[in-house]
Amino acid sequence: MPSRITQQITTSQLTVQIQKHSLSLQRQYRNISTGIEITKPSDDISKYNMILYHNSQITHLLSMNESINTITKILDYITSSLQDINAIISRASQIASVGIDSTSDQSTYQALGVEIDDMIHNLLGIFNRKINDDYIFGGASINIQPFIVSSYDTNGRINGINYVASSNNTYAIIDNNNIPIYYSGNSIEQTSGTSLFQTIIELRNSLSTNSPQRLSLLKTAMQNLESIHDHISSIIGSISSRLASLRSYSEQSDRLLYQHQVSKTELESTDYANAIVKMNESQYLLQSTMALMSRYFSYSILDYIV
Amino acid sequence: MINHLYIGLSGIISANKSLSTIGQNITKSNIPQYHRRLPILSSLPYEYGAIYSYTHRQSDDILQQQFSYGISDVSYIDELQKYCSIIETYYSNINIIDKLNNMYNIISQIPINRIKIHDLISAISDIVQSIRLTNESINRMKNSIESQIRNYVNLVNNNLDELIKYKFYGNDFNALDKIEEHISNISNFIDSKIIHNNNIYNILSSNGMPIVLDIKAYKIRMVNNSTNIAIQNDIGNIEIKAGRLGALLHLYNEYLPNIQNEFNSIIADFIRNINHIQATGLGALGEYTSASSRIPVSNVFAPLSTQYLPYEIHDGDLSISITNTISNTRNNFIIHIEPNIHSLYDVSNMLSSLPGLDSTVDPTTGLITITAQSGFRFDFAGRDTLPPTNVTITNPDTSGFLSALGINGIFDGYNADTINIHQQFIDNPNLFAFSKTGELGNNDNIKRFLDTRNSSLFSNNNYIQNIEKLITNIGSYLSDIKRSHDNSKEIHNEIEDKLNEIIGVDTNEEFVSLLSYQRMLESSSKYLSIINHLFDSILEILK
Repeated sequence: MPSRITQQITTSQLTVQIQKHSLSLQRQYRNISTGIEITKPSDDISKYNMILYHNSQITHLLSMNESINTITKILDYITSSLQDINAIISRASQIASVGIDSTSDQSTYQALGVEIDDMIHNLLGIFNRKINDDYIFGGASINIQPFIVSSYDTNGRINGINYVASSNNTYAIIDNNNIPIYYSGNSIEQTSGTSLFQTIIELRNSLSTNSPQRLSLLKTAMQNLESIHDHISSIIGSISSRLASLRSYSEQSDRLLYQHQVSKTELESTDYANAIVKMNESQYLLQSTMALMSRYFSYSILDYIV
Repeated sequence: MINHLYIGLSGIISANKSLSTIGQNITKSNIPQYHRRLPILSSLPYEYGAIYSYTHRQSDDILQQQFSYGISDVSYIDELQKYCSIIETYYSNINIIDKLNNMYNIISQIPINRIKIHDLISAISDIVQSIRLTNESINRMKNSIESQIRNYVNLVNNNLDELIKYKFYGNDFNALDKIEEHISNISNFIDSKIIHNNNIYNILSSNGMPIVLDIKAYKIRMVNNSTNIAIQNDIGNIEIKAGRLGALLHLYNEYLPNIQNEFNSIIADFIRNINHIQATGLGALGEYTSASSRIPVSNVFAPLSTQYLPYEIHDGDLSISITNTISNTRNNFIIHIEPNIHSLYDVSNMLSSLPGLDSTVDPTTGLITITAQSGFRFDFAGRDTLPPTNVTITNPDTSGFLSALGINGIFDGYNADTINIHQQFIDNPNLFAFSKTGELGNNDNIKRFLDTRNSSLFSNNNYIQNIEKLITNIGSYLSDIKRSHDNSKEIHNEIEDKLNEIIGVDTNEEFVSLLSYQRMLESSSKYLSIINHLFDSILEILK
């Protein structure tokens, strides 16, 4: 305890207390008005570090979800295109089966041949489909039309189609994993050396031409179409399973995103109950210090000297 | 009997002088460093009454010295806190970590959305702006610290001048008060040792250099030797480790350069990684017809290792793929670069010797230009030959030659001061090298870019984590300062209170003394009046 109390001691002590309470009050005002308690590392280093971590996870997950959504759209479109191809193959197979029926006359064969010829054009259109200006079956050469007509027959019908794009797939990158998005058309259109376009062209030709080998050619075409159909179905299956895992991944990342957002908010946001209690405390302390000060300065022994 | 008159008179004189001293105390009670005076009375010989013997000035040398040290400590931390809060704001408000993360997130989206390349360029520009803004702010802060140091030096010298003036007043109490006031002012700026003996104050710096010796002041001056600021006087170097000046010198000479160096090395690493991967990949525009270095060497004929380049060139290989666009063939060539032996000119000659390639160095600018001959194009992606041989090169530039000289990089510059985005990327974002094969759907180089998020190719560091570390270190330092500030302020207040207990004026006490001396004066007057009356009575008898 001090032995003598001078005016300067009292003034300096009161000033220190006023500064302390004003600072605390100002901090609480800021926390309450902004709703954020941690804005700088020095506010709380460990909390700030955690906020940085959650922040980077949130931006990463948001970006990943955006990528997954885009990939899902692309893969959905590819699946739908492959299903269109398989629908054409099924119809071609049906036509081949009708052709095998010995009751058909030449005009029926001609009509079936014309339908198959239309299918070739349809297939070519599907195999050259684009999404976001990228060819979906161009593999890594997304800017090059993958299938081009290489030859026409004497009737001006397509007689050969070549694949000119890349034999490699285009991959998207999700969490350091490569996910194929644009497949090489070559690997879809062909299986075990059997080309879909070649098979369909041969089917059309065998229907249009009255030949003794027609029956066996139609049977071969049917078998080839079946194996290509199975091949494409297996690709659709693998894409669908990838889509399913992407959706589940997206759900997981949504949950994670939510958790990170909650954790970040909990760390950086103002605890209003606590802040208001602290604000009131600082306010009372400041008011009492000010009251003390005015009382101290109003009191003087001069009042008692007459 | 006539003595009675002198006795009364001595009482009046003593009380009057004492009242004057008390009056001084009351009126100066709020002046800092005013030392309370005490009237000391004593008896006159031969019972002739009282005499005002002398005025005692209250003081305590040890506390006074502790008080000065306390001022230096508190003002040191106060000044540090002020600037460190600003430094923390500079580094934490630019959100550089968010911006780097954003850049990598955009890169990861490019394989599925090529339009994002435009977003990437704006994200990179944003990073460049933030880095430059931070560094410029720190440089501006250094400039203002420098002028503040100059200002503080002047203030110290002004106080020294004033202090010396009062030294000629000898033991005058007001002069001593003034001297102590100026010593306190000086302690606000520098830490010093005060040697006080028989009211003579000598001031030495913390390394023992005289600042005030007897009646001579050795004024201090600021010496700026390009990177550091030192304080000297005519005797020698003045070491200042506390006070406001001490804080600014610490910030200017140590703290800010350390932070800037750390930030620069992180940014340098970032630039080199991104430039290296960009230079060894291919964009939508394919191979190059020409490429030039952006970082000059001082002597194109001297070994590269002697050129003090911002980035080291290693003993390693540089792989160049040269495509003949007419025959549609591509061949790979490897040149071995030994920086201890090869100069830029040697490397240029090696490149020129390759079929389809020309290379020149300009001794004036110190830059190299590689040009493809007509019908040829070249790249450094290390891709397969044409016709294919199924051989690709994982790292086509193990020497780091391309990134060290800024050839085909995204960034110009080599640290936080010089970083800039290469204008050609702003003009044509399709130059961004996402591919290793040249195919638009090949994203092998994107994967390499993304890998640098976790580990630098050159330092194995993680620069995002390093920036986080730098920012939290700044915050941690500031937290320590805030804690120290509270502690030293508390200690200083305690010392100040203790000193005030001894030297300060308690007005209540003074009013009591005032009443006491008032009574003394009144009673002495009354005594004189009675004696006077007595003399009158005696004189009346004599009539």
